[in-house]
Amino acid sequence: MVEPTKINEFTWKIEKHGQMNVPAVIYSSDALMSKVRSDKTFNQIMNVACLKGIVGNAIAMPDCHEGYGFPIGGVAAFDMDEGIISPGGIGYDINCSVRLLRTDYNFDEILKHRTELLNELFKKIPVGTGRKGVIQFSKQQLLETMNHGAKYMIEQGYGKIEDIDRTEENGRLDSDPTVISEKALLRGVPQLGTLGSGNHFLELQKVDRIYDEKIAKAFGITHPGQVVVMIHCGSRGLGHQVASDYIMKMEEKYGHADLPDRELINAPINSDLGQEYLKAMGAAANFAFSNKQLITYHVRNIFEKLYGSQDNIDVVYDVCHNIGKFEKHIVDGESRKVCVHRKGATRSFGPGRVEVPEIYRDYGQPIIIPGSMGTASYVLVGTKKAEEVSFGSTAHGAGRVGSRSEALRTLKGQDIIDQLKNMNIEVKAGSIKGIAEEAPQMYKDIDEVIRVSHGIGIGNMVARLVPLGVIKG
Amino acid sequence: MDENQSTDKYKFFDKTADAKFQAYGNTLEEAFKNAQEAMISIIYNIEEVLDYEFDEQERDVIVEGTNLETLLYNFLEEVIFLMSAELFVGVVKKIQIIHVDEMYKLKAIMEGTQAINLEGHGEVKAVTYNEMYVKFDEEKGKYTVQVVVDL
Repeated sequence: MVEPTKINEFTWKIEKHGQMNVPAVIYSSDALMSKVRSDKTFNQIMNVACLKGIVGNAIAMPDCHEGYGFPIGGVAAFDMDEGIISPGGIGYDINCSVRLLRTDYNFDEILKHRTELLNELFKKIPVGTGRKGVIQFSKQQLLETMNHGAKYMIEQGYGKIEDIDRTEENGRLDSDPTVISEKALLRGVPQLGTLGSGNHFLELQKVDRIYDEKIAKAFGITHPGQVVVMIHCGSRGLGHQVASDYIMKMEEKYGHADLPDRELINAPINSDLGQEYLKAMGAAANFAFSNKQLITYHVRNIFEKLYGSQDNIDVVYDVCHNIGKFEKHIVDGESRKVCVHRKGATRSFGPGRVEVPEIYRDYGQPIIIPGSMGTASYVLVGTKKAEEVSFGSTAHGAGRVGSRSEALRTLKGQDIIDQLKNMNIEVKAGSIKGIAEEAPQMYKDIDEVIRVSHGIGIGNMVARLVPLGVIKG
Repeated sequence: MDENQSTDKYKFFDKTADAKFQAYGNTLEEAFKNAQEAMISIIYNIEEVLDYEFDEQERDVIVEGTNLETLLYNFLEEVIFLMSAELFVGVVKKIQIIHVDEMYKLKAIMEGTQAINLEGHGEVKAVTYNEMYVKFDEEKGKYTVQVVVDL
C-alpha cells in the first residue's frame, strides 16, 4: 500500500514510479484523508497517472472517493496528439451537473406555502426511476436539443436567453446526435424533464452566510435569508447508455491488455472512435443542459403560481461535474490546448478567462457545490490558483463515504425525515428507502471539503446555503 | 426483503458508490435469474414485483454473448433498457441458455408491470464488467455470478 507524502496542510503527493507517466496529487486534509485511505482512491489516481499522454499531475479533489476507473473527484489533462479520452474518466452520468437559481424572495415569504410549493414541484418534476417527463418530446425534438443544447429549449419557450449566458459552455458542447445509438435515444425520450434518483435532487434553500459581499452581489446573492433553488441532475438513461456503448466499442477496438485497470478503457483523442465518443458525449451533455432548462421552466411557473411572479428568478450559473473539455492551460511553462477530464469535479476558472460569462469575468466563474441532503451547499468563485495547480478545477460535492447497502442496514428513512424535520427542512421523496441511501451520514463533511478548497485557493468561499425543502428521487 | 438486502438467492457487499452482489443457482439459468432479481431489488421492493398481479405484462428478451460474462452483462443491460425506455419492471418467468457455434444465447420471458405501478428508490445507471464473473463450484455443484452495477 502506497502512502502519499504530505507536502503541506492540504496537499499530498505520490511521486512518479513504476508505470506512472506523471506524479499524482491529492488535495485533502487529515480529517478527509482517513476515509480516502480506506478505499481504492490512491490506486485509481496512480492508474490514471499511467495513462498515455497525460500531462502535469493526475489530481484528486478534496471530495475524492473510489469510482469506476477514475476516482470520483479525479482530474487529468491529456496532450492533444498523444493523449486519450476515456469514458470511465468522464463517468456514466455524462454532464451530471448543478444549476443554481436566485430569487428576490425572502425565506419567510416562501415558508408560508412551502408544503404546497414542494408538492407542486414534485408533481411537475418527476423523480425516481421509471417516470416520464410531464411534457413529452418527440425523437426529432430530442435530436434537435442534443444538437443545439439548452438554446433549443429556450427557442421552444422554456426559458430566457440570459439563462444560457449563465451556463457553462453556454449550454452547448460540440456534438453529433446521429452517432447516438437507438438504444440511448429510446432511453432518453421519456426522461427529458425528469430529475432521476440517487444523489440527484432539487433543493429549496436560503442564503445562510455571505463570505465575500462584492462577489456575492455580482452573482445576484444579496443577503442572508434570500431564497435560492438548486437543481442537481444529469443526462439520465441516455448518458448512461452512451457511456456503456462507448466503453464496449473501445474494448472491442483497443482491448485492455496494456491498461492497469480494465475500467480505464480509452481511445486516442485523435482516433475516429475517440472523436465519435466526444461527439456522443457532447450530445448527452446537451441533453443534460436541456433537462435542467426544462426543470427551470417548471420551477419558475410554480413560483409564479404560488407567489405571484417569476420575473425575479434568474440563473446564477450551471456547472458540469462529469465532462471532458478542450481548454488552454499552462503546461511546463507553455500555454497549450489539452483535453481535461473532470469526473466528479467542477471547473474553477479565475477572473479574465474568456470562458467565464462577461457579467462575471472581472470576478471569476461561479462554482456551485451541493452538500448532501440536509447539509449546507456552497457558492465559490474560480481562481487563478486553480488554473495553475488543478487545471482550473475544484471539488463537486460532499463525496460518498458509505455504501448504499450499509445505509440500508444501519439507517431508517423515516428517522432521517424526522431528523431533517427537526432542523425545519421539509422532504418530499419518491421513496423512504431512497432517503436512507442518501442520508447525510453516508457523505463526507461538506464544510471540511470547502475548507480545503478555500485553503488551497482552488475555489474560494462566496456564500453558504442551507436547505428549506428537498425533492428527492 | 430484509434490511441488508440479502437472501439465499443473492447477497450484497459494501461498495462505496456502486452496488456489488453475488447470485447463486443450481443451474446457470437459476443463477442468471437470481442476478436479475438482485438488480431489481436495488430499485424496487422485490416482494412487490414478484407478487404483482394487477396489470401484468410480459416481455421477451433475447441476448447473446461470446462468453458467459458478456451474456450476463448483455442480459442485465437489456433489463435496464426495458426499465428506462419502456418503463417496464419485471422478473424472469422462463429462461433458457444455450451454447451453439461458440456463442451463448439467452432467451427469457419476463413478467412484470409498468414502473408507475410500483414504488421505486434509487436507480441503476449501468452494468459494469468490474469484478464480474460466472463460476461453477464443482464441490457444491452450484453456480455463482458476481456483478457490480453503477448507481
